[in-house]
Amino acid sequence: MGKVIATRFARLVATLLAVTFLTFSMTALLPGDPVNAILGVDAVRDPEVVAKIRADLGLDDPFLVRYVNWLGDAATGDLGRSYITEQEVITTISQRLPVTAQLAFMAIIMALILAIPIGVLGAYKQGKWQDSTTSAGVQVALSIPNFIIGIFLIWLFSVRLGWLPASNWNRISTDGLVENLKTAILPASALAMTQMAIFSRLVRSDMIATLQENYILAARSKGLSDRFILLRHALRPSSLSLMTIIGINFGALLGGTVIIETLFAIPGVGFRLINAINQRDIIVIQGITVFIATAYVVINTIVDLLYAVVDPRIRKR
Amino acid sequence: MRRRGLYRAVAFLAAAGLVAGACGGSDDSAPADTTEESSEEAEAPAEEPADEPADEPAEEPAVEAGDEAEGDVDTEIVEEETAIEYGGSVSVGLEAEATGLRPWEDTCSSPCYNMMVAVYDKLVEQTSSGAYSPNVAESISANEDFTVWTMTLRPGITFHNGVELTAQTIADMFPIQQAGAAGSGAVSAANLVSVEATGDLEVTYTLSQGGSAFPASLARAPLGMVFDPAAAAADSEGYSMAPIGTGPFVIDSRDLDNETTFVRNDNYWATDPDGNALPYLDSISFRPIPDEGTRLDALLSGTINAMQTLRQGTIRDARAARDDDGADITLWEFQGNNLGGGMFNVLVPPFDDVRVRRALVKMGSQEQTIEALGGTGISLPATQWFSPDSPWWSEKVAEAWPQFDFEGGVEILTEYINDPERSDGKAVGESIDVELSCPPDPTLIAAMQVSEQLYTASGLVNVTLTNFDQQTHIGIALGGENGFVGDHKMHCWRWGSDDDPAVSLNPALAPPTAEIAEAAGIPGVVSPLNFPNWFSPTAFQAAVAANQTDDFETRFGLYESIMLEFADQVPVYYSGHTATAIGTDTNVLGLNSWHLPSGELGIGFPAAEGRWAEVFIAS
Repeated sequence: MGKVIATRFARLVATLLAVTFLTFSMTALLPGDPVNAILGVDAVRDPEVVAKIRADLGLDDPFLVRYVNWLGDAATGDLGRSYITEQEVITTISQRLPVTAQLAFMAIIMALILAIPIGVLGAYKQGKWQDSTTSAGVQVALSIPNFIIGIFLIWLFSVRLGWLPASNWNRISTDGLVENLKTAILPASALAMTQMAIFSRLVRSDMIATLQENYILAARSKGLSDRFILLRHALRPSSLSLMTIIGINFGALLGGTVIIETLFAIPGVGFRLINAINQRDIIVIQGITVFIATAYVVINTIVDLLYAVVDPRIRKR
Repeated sequence: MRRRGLYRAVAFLAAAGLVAGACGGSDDSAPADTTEESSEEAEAPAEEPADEPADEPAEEPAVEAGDEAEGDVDTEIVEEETAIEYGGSVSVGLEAEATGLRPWEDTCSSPCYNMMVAVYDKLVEQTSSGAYSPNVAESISANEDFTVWTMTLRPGITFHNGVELTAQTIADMFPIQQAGAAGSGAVSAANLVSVEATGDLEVTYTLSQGGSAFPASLARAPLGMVFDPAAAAADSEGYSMAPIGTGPFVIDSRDLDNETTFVRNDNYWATDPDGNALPYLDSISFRPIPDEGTRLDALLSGTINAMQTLRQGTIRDARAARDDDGADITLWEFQGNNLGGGMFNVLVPPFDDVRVRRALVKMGSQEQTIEALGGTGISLPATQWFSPDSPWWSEKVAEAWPQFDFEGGVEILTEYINDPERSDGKAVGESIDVELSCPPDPTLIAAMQVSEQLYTASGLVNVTLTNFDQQTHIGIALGGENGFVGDHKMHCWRWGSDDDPAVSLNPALAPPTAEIAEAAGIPGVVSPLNFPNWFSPTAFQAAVAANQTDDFETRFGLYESIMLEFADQVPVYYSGHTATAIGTDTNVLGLNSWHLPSGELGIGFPAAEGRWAEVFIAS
């Protein structure tokens, strides 16, 4: 296990180096000057102010010097300070991470609640009308981008029915759980639909394979009920691929809810990232990108390690 | 789902999460006209949009003096007749989060100003006629050559932290403004060299050059908004999160990217004309909702009870929701001296030849472009930097501006193409190359395609369309690394504001490079804000002269002469005036009837920037 963790850690470091270098390179290649974003068009008329800001921010240093300086600070946990808001990047992330994490978590849970019964039903009734119907539904959910679902949900539940707010975020700390859930349910649902489709297809295909196994036939010959066999003997071994994809998708959701957060005006990591990109706030872009990459790799490492917990055969290898 | 929902989906897909800004340019404009002439809102026959497809050009009618576009229903600035009521809260959806709330430091645009005017007061404000009138200042006057301005403050005004506002406060603000990212540019633009307290409440501003439009600078955020300099110097970053002003509302909480809430300032100095204490509301909160459709849906669903928009398409959708679906909303519409369009970089061939610029303007159809932008019936075609209901609008200029005349444009372009001395170095008869660039907003892309079709139909133009995000787009035009001449060709941009023309127009007329300034005999006078890089000594001198007199007729004549040169030399082109709006629940009243201390009505809500002190909720 120690060797596995060491290998994973080395891979994490290599990935982060590659990600930071690429992000730094790409932002450096962008035309335009971050100083313009800081000062605004009207204020750039004073070359002395422009020069001072460039010097203060180290923008006159060569690319590699800036990168190495930033990397050195990042290694000590200092991801820098926003050019625009002057807020520390680590603070920016820590304030927004709970929002994005809650959305991602809710989306995954909602997706699983729907996906497992649908997948199991599809496998159990393979080739029958129940399977065809659920497969068609899943196909539709998979085909529609989640922001389209988001727009539809806003129109239906906010504009037409008036049940839920159309935008923004109520915090648990100030507004309470119920109010928080009112603002979380629509964006989480929009995110969950695609996840549900992916998960249910995976559960269905894995379970179809599992149901062909000899020990399932043995269980049936012993007269165990179908429900018991499906949930007790078939679902667990069919969940390895599901776990992998949950890990991958949770990591992706942490950094990939940009569109949904923008659509619903949710103050999460993605919303901040898109604002930073538009404001050419390179330090924030860099910091959030590193965070996303780290989260992605760490979560997948954890998932890999969890295999051993779920499947004793892996532990013995 | 209604059709609007589908449009939103397509638009969102195309924009791919980018905040689709308007076509470049600075939004850093506190609007309104500057003269004491009344602006007249004339009702005129509507203009029919051209129905012809882009490849079948049609004659485009000229705008008549005082015209309004069909459906251009600028909300009248009038006294509110409904009885005021105290209490309640308004939640306003903004198109973006404010990057910060420090007037001297943070680059601001319309969303940010909505918040700032809740917490800060301006020294000077604009009246409904566009004139500048004292606000926190009690009076302001200049010496003969407008180099020294003396301002007297109103007594008894205190900041939210209890600190008294004195002349020394204004003097102490100055070094902070000089060093601030936003303030330094404003100080430089106003030619302001010193601010001194010459009495308990008397402040003296000294300028290096006479500026008759100086009060306009005191009506803008960087120099005009009053802040507590001691608190700002002690904790600048903290000030952004917890601003301290003398305004009608006090900061209560600031949750970045989510919600900023202000509560009533119980010690606010101003009253309404009847002597009632202000503000009327208990609190006001601002929520950034970048997606236009979601912001409108949030209003329609009651998630918020006010929203701003600077988009014609959103105004169109909001009108449809109100008129067709019966939504209980009020649209407070404003179409001022701000317009879309673009510019030619006149230092780059073939745009250095006026024939090419004239030809391209004549071959482009504003009517069809406005239609592509979703502004038909909302936005007027433009001929100058002023809207027809502005006192600065000139009929002469409207007549002089090259109208849509496809064949005429082709003729001019053919002359250039067949000129052996053509500036782009291509062989006689070869098509010109035009790179047209706009930010990646779906409506802007549609508008670009209109131009592309028309130019391509001539068989004389090779068109390349490019799209960069707004910051990059601005950066390309600004340059910086190439001496601020930019790397643009034909570039979408936004022009004008409701400030005094000296604010928006003068910087665009100074020499763009040191070499050009030297050649013109005015060494050292260089403006990075001359984006088209077009320099005319006569236009520049007219702009300088206009800033050295306060006689409206003289100033009008000077700015008219500049606009006439624009019509002749076409360094810029237009795609219609900019309509903006604040949408509210129907029981939210008072946006069009806020007052200055003199009792005059204020400018209203230009650029969807509301003044919230006299807003109330009718039961």
